[in-house]
Amino acid sequence: MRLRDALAHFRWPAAMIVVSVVVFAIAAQARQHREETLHRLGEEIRRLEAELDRRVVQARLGERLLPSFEQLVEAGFLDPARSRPAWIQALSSAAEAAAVHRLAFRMSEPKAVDQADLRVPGYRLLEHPVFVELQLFHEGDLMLFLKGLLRHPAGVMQNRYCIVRSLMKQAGLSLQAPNLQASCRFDWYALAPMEEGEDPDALEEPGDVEDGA
Amino acid sequence: MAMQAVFLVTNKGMDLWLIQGRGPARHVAHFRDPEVEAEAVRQAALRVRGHEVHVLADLVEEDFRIEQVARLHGRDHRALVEQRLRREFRETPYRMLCSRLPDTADRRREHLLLSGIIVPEQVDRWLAPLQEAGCGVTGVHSMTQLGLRVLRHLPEAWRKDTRLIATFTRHGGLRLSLFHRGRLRYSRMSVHDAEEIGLQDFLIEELRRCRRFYENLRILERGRELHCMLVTGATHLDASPLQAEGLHLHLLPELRFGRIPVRRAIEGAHGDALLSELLVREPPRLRYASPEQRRESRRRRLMRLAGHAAAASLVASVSYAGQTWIDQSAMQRTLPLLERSRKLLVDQIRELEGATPRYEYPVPVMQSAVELASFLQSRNGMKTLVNLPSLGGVLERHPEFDLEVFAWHHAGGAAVRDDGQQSPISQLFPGDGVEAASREDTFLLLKGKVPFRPLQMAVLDERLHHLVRGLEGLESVREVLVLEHPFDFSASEGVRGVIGASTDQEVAAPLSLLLTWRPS
Repeated sequence: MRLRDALAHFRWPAAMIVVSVVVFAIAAQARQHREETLHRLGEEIRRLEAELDRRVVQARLGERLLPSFEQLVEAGFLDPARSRPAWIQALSSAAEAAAVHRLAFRMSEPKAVDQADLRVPGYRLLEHPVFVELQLFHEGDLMLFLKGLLRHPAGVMQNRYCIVRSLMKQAGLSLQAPNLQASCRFDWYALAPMEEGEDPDALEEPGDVEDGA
Repeated sequence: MAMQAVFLVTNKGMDLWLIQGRGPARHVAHFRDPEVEAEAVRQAALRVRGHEVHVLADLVEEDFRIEQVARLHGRDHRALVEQRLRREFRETPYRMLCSRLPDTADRRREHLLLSGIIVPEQVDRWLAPLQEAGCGVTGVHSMTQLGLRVLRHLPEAWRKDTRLIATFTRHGGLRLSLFHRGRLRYSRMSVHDAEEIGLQDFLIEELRRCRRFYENLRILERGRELHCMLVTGATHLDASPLQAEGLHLHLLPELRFGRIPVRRAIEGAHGDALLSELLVREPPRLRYASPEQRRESRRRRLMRLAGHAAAASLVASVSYAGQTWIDQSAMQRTLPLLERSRKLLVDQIRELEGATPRYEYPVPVMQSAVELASFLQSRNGMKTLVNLPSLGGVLERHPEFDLEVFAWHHAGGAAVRDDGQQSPISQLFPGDGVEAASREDTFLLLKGKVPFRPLQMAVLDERLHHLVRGLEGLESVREVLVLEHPFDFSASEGVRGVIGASTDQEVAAPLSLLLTWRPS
């Protein structure tokens, strides 16, 4: 009863406050609706801008990288099995050009290289160790051989080490027989695509696959 | 413009004054008898019902009492005042404390001036029709308190002393209120009958009587000079005969008052119009009020507060709505621009998609593969190969160093240590040389023998020194570490020889050197 009396006395202020609240709510609702629409559109535009930037960068990058990448593909960087003969041919050509007395090589099973900075998405980097035994007349022949092999390599390769021993202790300097013996290791790198869900480290134990002399 | 109404209740009836906005008070009606003219009063009240209504009483029935009490504060003081008011003005709800005056003789005591309308019917019979008409009356103002308002408009120097403020109404009511230093000491009223005595003589007579009355009450020193300010426009009044008695009469024909001050001049002898307007512009703080009127007053205050709050909220919400409307217009213009931008971007993406060739491999794969191949090729061993001729040049200048093994290693010396059992190069290192080599990315190992005669070790030392210096001088060499030295007994079987002029035989001592390259 007292509340009703109080409301009767304050009906105008109460009505004004109710009207104020209604006006405020309607205005706030309208503002929020419009702001949300604008915000959504703004987000969509930012996403599209980022997508456009990404595609432009990809297109320019692809254009710039394509020649180098095609050379790598041709050299068997992405298909090691197919280009293995080319590598052996390169080895043979270098040895012939350097007049190596005798060359023997042994190629081992590839093993995966697990280094964070050497990763390509969807591929794993394989390292094919190739051990080469050389008999040489002169150290200059070794340099010729290495230059022939490394300067224009068939694929991506690295000379890991070379050990050169003198054979002259026993026989002295000879013009007919080799005076030096070198043992070198070359690492031939290639990328192999990974299967879906494949563990990049899962590889069989390395073993010898090919020998030649 | 807001209108306000003042009902002035006197012993000869009630007058209605209206004040419109900032204008002067306008006399609207006079009612003689509330019983006879009840309907007229009610009609007049109905006219002003929606506006603010003030009631001002100037009655001879308004009585004053001076009480000497203990000086108290807070709740005790209020209780004491309430008790004294109930005792002195038992029959009337119209009672109040007018002023508190310190007792000059005793600091622990004080004088209270209480007042009350001892015949409340004189007011109630006029208020009844007003309340019936719906005029919410919140109290009855006293002419005495209005006199205090008048006093405050007078110069400070004048009002500091003991002064009389006189008001004269149109029905002959002359009220003489005594103030001391701005506080009310007493007030008394008499009614002028124009048929019996002239106004000037009446005034002179009343001033004398009033002075005697206050002297008898001992609130005014005997023989003291007294100044009186009469609110009137009758400038012809002359009270000079009183000056010899120490009584001085001043006239106040005009006054400036209000928040935005207005100047009002009084026309005629009575100051009802000015006093009514002063009541509206500057209502006195104290007034008589019955409990119902106090409740009404509280309700009004709440109403006013609620009204302000409601108006403020309405203004705020309408402003917000207006701002939203303005913003909506701006947003409405922005929306098509954003839509156009989005469409443009979609078109550009489609166009680019059509213009870009399809690669067999994704661009990220191409990029990673090219970068990886380039990195691997950069350390393929060519650097060592390029530096070998200059190294050979140094070795040719030192034919005494019989080189037996010449080895190099690239890209990760740690591999030498990790698979030390299998790596043939790790087997070449004497002692803890593997540890030194494992810290390097690329190194070169020279291993051989140096022939020397034990009696000429100083010569050997000098030659070795030259050899190491020669190697260190190469542009690409960063450091030369001697892993195995002829004079190092821990690495060799010792130094052997036969001392003698013809028996100084040549022996061979091992020498191993580790060369590291400067970073590219």
